[in-house]
Amino acid sequence: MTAARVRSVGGWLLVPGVLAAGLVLALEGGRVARPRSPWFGRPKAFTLGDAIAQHDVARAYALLRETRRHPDELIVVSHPTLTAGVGRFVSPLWWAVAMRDEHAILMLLGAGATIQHVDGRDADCLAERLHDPVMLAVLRRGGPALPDDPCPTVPAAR
Amino acid sequence: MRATTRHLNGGRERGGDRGWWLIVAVVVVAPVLGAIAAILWRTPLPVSEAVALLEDVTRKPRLAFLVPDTAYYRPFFHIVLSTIWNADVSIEARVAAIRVLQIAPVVALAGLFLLHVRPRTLVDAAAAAGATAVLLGSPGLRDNLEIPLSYTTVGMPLALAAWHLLVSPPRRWHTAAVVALTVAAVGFKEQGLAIVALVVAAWVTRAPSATRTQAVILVVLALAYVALRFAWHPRMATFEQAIGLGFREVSTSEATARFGTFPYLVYAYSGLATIGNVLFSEPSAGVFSIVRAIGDGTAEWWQYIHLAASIGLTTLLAWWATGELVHARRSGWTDEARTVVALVLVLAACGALSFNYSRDRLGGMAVPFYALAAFHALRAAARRVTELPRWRFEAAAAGLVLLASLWHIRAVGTVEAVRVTAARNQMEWLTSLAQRTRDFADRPVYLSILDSLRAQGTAESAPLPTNYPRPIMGVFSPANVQAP
Repeated sequence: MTAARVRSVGGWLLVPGVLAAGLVLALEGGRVARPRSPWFGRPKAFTLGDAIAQHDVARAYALLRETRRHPDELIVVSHPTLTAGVGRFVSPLWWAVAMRDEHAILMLLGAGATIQHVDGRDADCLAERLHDPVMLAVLRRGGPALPDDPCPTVPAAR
Repeated sequence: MRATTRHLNGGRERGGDRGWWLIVAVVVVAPVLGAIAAILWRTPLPVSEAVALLEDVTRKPRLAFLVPDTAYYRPFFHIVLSTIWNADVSIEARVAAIRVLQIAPVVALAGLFLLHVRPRTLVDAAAAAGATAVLLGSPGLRDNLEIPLSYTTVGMPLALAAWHLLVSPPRRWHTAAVVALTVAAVGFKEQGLAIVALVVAAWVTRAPSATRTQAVILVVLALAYVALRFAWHPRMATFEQAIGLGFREVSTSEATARFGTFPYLVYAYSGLATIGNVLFSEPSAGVFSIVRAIGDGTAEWWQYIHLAASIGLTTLLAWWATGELVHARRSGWTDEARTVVALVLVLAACGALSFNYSRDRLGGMAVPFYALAAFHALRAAARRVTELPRWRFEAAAAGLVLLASLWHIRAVGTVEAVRVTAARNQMEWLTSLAQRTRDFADRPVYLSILDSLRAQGTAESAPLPTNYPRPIMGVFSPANVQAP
């Protein structure tokens, strides 16, 4: 009786360890087999706009370096409310504020992105319109002084 | 490996299982350990810690690190880092060697642990797997898995190796080896002095390889070390770093202003906080963050798991330790009773060495002995429950399995924690590179190291945390660290 119980307790006590080992093997195996699964990463972005939209800052940085583009070069984006669902040229920094991605903002500012008070490049004005003091603070903290001139008028359609 | 051990029926057991149960324990532990090692292997060196350290070892001659003129004295670590960084090999090879300096001690620690407990039965193997989960899931280990800061991860296997020698049958070279292990551990970080507590524990409990001469040599060496540190660095800051107190962190300046005239009560709090973190997972860095989260209604699953696992295990340890000490008074010292004394003394040493500020990592040297005690306690409890009446047997066995499950979840949580650290390191590179280039414009060595490490820091291949589905989000690690 006692020997059977000892085996039983030993066996049951080993089960959590076996399950934990199985879970880790499944997760690590899954990463190798399907690295872009939603469990393990994000779908691979091929444009800077998509990388920012997916909050994939490392991919956005890699795309900037691979394509040797300046971080102020305009990109085409579409957003249901901010661009009324149609494609529009904006700066990557503007798009990062629209996506409320603090890390992407800091990365772009570090790469040399600037703010100008013209339509689509006015990241700070967008942060004000979105009533997002956090993004505004990040823009102030991470880059050169913000422009003094007034924000551009927002077209009524937007 | 161990000479003898008390057994269920009061008898003694020896080898004869041909190592099968050791292999079973290794197979169960290997995936978690392997995952931790593999993630560390791809973890970017952090901007904030690594670059300044590498600047130091580039600018200063290797032997200059032996002079104890700084608040943080880790001469062997700096000498090893200097040897690696100044080697005439590619940058990739140097970064790989720095990662190995962190990975190898962790693997050695788990390997030594399993060899030391040397499971010989199914219950032993299950207890060894559970105890290794305690080792890997404890905050004292987890907080030390930060590349390149391998100070304590080197000390932990050295401490376990010293203990193994102390409780093994005596050999002529054991004293020299224990002294060498202690010197090496102390050379990596002050916390290595915890080995002196182990030697005293071994001597007090008449361990086979412990002698009074050995204990005296190491206590004298420890005192000489402390005297040397004070002689070279007589004016310590009252508080070197921010301290945790109750439910919040107190900055260095505020702590100095509030407690500077009589800091001793706060020192005692910090020491006890480190001990409490090993035993109960609370407080963390002196702050009762889990209790606060539960009080605020914001606690996540992992926080309940950490608290329940630690309270459950420490309660079990208290039951087991009491029995072992009572048995030792009657029948003499056993390895199990020696482990109790070793744990108590090494915890006290970790507490004393963290008087200035408490951090989870400062309890690291006690973690192998908490895990070793867990092995003995789990094994003793598993055998004890078999003697209970049926319904109590089933309830007690279920409780033990639940406790083991919580610790295995914590070990998987450590895998996630090293992933989170890797992702944070990468994000730090991506977001602060330009700022640091501006801030350190007048330090050409710093800038050249920053530039040489940039590729590894910004590589897309850095590990990312797992995005668990909502029902289990927050079980293994905080939910807010999952990718958005």
